[in-house]
Amino acid sequence: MITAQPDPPLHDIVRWLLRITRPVHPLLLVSLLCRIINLLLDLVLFGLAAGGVVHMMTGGGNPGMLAAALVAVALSKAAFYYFEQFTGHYVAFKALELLRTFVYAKIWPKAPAFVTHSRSGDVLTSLTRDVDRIEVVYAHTFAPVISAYVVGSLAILIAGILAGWKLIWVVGLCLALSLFVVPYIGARRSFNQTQATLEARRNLAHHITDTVFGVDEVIGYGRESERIAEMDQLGGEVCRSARTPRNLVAFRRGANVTLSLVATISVVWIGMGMAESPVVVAAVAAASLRLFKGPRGIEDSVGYLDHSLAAARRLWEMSNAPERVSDGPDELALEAAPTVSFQSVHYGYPGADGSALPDAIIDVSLQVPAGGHAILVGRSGSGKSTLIQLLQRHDDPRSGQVAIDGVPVDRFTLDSLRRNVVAVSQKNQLLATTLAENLRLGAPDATDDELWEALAIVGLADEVQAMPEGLDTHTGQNGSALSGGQAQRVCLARALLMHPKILVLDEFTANLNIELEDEIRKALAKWDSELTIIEITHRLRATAHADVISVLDQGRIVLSGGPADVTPEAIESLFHVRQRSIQEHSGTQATEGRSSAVRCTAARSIATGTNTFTS
Amino acid sequence: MANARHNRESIISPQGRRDTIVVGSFRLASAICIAGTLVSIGHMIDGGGRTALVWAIIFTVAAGAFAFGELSWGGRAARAEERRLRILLLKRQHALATASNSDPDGTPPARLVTMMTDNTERLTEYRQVYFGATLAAIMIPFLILFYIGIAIDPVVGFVVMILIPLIPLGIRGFMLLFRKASSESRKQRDQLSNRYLDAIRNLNTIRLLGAGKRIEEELGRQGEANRGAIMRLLAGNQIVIIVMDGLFSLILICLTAGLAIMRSDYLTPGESVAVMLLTVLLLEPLQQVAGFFYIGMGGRASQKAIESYLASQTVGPSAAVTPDAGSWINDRLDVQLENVHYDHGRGEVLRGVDLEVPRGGRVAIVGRSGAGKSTLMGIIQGTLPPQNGHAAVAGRIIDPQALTLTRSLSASVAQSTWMFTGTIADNLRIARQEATETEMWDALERAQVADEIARMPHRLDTHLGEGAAVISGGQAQRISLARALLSGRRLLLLDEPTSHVDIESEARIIDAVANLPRDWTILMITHRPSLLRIADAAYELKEGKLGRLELAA
Repeated sequence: MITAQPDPPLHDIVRWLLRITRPVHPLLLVSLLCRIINLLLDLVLFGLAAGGVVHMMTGGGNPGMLAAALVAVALSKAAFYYFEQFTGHYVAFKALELLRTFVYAKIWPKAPAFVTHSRSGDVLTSLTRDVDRIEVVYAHTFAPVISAYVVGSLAILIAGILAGWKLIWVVGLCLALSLFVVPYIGARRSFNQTQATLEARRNLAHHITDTVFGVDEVIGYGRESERIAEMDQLGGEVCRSARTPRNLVAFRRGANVTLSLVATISVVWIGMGMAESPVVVAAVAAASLRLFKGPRGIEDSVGYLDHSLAAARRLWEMSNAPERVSDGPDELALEAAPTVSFQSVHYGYPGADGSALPDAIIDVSLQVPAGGHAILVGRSGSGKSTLIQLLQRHDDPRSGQVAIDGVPVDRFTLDSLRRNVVAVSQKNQLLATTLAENLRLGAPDATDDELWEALAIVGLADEVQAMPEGLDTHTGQNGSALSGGQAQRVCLARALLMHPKILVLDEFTANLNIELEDEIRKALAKWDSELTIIEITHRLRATAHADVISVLDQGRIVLSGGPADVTPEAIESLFHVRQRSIQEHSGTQATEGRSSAVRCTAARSIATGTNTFTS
Repeated sequence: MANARHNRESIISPQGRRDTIVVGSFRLASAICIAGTLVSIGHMIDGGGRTALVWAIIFTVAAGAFAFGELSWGGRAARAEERRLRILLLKRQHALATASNSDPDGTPPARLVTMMTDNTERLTEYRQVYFGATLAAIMIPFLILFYIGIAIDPVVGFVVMILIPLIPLGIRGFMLLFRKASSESRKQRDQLSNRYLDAIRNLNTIRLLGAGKRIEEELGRQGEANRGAIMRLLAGNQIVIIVMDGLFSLILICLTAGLAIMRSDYLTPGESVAVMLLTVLLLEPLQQVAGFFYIGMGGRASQKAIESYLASQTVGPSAAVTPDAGSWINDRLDVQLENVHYDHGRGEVLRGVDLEVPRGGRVAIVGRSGAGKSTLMGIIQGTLPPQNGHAAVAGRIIDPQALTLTRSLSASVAQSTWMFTGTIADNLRIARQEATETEMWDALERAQVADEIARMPHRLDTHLGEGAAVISGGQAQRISLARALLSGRRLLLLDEPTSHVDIESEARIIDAVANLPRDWTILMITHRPSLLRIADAAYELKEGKLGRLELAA
């Protein structure tokens, strides 16, 4: 979905970037100005020192005046350097913050589709790195590059007027070469090769990740030396593709060193030929030598620029990716528990490259009565969670309708819909902050009492009370400071605090033992009768209390009904039959060879639900 | 200290050290040629004529060439060293994975990946590119001044040289002062970055709970507060910049100018111009200061991380298992342990384990977590060297010196499987490279996952993508089982293979294992009654010993 749009031209991206960072531009100019003055003073300092010395030797001048002038120039140069640095840092930090906030503001409305459908790991890690890279442009590229051109032109102009063009025409030529020719020699090739290097590094990192995480397999099957050889081959590609850009950088450095010396030589040679005043010659020669500090700044920045432009492009693409769903016209406000219905729903995920993947949901129709408890059963990948995502409108179905109280969900604003339909999944979804802040994520105005009440329902109040910091306990990154069961219950409490009318429980008992699960179920039932519950579970012991039980397989509902019809046994036999039919179909496995004990165990484990996750 | 030095020597290759010297020499040579040009310019002024001009041009070209050489050589050397380091790190991981590690928690794999990608790059940029050049840059002022002292004027040269140590000292002070501020402001920045990352990681949750706008504003607010604090820190600490910059200009330029004027009776005009031009080279060390923050600090931190990983010690086999006493081996047993002990260095985990798994047998081991089940499995797999007692797998003694052989005798299915980037076929071929399609399908059939793969549009050529998102955990486990079956090894070691899979996958895995012909010997760690039921015998590992468990009929 990210590649589905045409690439914008570079100047559009730059303009877009400039719009975001507009607030820092005045200060960026101040920083630039300070740098320009600093560089000019540097030329003055060296020119003054060399010229002054020669002046004295030839019998003129006042040593006290010279010393005073040198000290004054040196100190004011240092002061401007300080202001340049300070404003530069300010610009960098502020630009970083502006970019971060801007990009975040742009991407959160695109979630969850954005995260689910793009190669999220990639996108999200590159996001922060890309923002950092662009910061580098503001902090370390803009001022050095512009000032190099400005100071260079100014210095030549002033020297030309004061000392005559004849004396400095070679200096001017050398500087022009180093400002306008040297940085651009091979720039395109360098850019392309840098892209190739980055690609090679990505491949290398990928291979290393596989080898390191798959170490058991690598060692178990004796593949160590092959993996090392493959890795080294990829490393070799990095070496090869890095060669051209590196040699171009080295060439620029060499060229600039040579040009700066040629310029200095020319001043002395021409000056002597012209019988120019030795004071002027010495001053101009020393300043010429320093003048090439500017091009050196460009040298350093050009390497960054490649990366930064690529980063800017990625950010642009990310920020301008279309939102998959948008607000409907109405606010969803529910007084009582609503009905939920799915009507001949078809849905397929979009692929990473924008193409459609095969349907994940095929012709699903399902009615959940108001205040009812529906259970969805099926193996992983059967489409249970996709149904819930459609109810929360992560995306819209290809055809068919998802409705609440008979009204299609796309009629509602996304916020009001998701305030009423809250899901708790088995995944850990805690922010790295305090318990209280996590609990208040969906209900920012909840009082402490309300937090405790919610914690009590999920059977966590006592445990939190026992924690030294209580509600202020830090949950750690991804809830790592809590046990799996605790984290899951915090998520449930957080959902309850939002007072949803439809509660989705996606494997929420995965990390809980059965006693705790029962207690929570009881507390939940007492808590609010005005609640429609949709539950996804592997444990079939809950089915007895449910109003509707639907079994999904490969995107279709294969069995649906009340607890009287859809018993654990019925589900088991369904699986059993399907499994056998698959085997007959594939035709090789001798079914009678299977031990009956296995069948029974499988059946029992499905029926009692005691098998998974409890050990 | 001696230890740290030893480590440093072991992580940078001799070639890498030579490269550092070469880079430094290029830098020095370039600076000397620049000085040559500048001195020739002085000769020109003093009437050196064309000869001086020719020399100046020769030096100029050479200075440019050496400058080119420095960067070109350094970059190439860094990339080459990076390759060597990566191999070193990976070999270390393999060594640690096949030995008891003194570090009980180990290095998380994600950190090792960072080490092998980001850190190696930073370290080599520092060692091969930056370090040599910096050493050279520090030497340059001394050399220049020494030359001035000898060839032009001793007073100018040696007086400034006495003051030159102020430069490194000054830089050091600058860094110390700045480091404090920069580490503080870095801390602040890191905090903010972490919050930002966390907000991105939890994007879905935040969005679905309607907290997007609020988090966005909060991030903005915190950023603002944070930045204010950083700027106040910097405003104070960057005063150092004025001092340093002013000090350098004053000491080097004003002093040199002053001395040159004082000594004007002894200096020719050309010499005094040359001296003034040479002061530019005295500023060389300053060129390296900025790099210190970008390259130096990152490189040193990387070096530390890599060094400590490479230095992590393994606990070697304390008493070698006597490989010559092979008479006790029973050919009909695929696993034979007698009085096996094991200690990770934190007290004995295994205290005399006896175990016999007959060829074609199916044996289960239970035990609470931490009882040593994985240690026991590790010994049989050949990833941990047995420390004591007799141990044999598939009729061959486990020789701590030749664990590779032991590892080739069994195939394992762990609790979770890593799927490599590539196709399903690629993943299967990890077990046996030359496996044919028919063999693969056969293994997949036996592992009860063939029908699901056959339904995928690209079948065996299905790309698993990142994190194997295309297939479920249950399917991955069955592919792992297929991989083990394909390996041609007849001893299967299963470590709770169904603990993380859905119900149907579990049923199918159990089914698959139960239906394996008796050609395969199976040793499994499990708590599942369903898996225990297909075992011929079960043992409980308790207090370092195995006890027979009665199997319910």
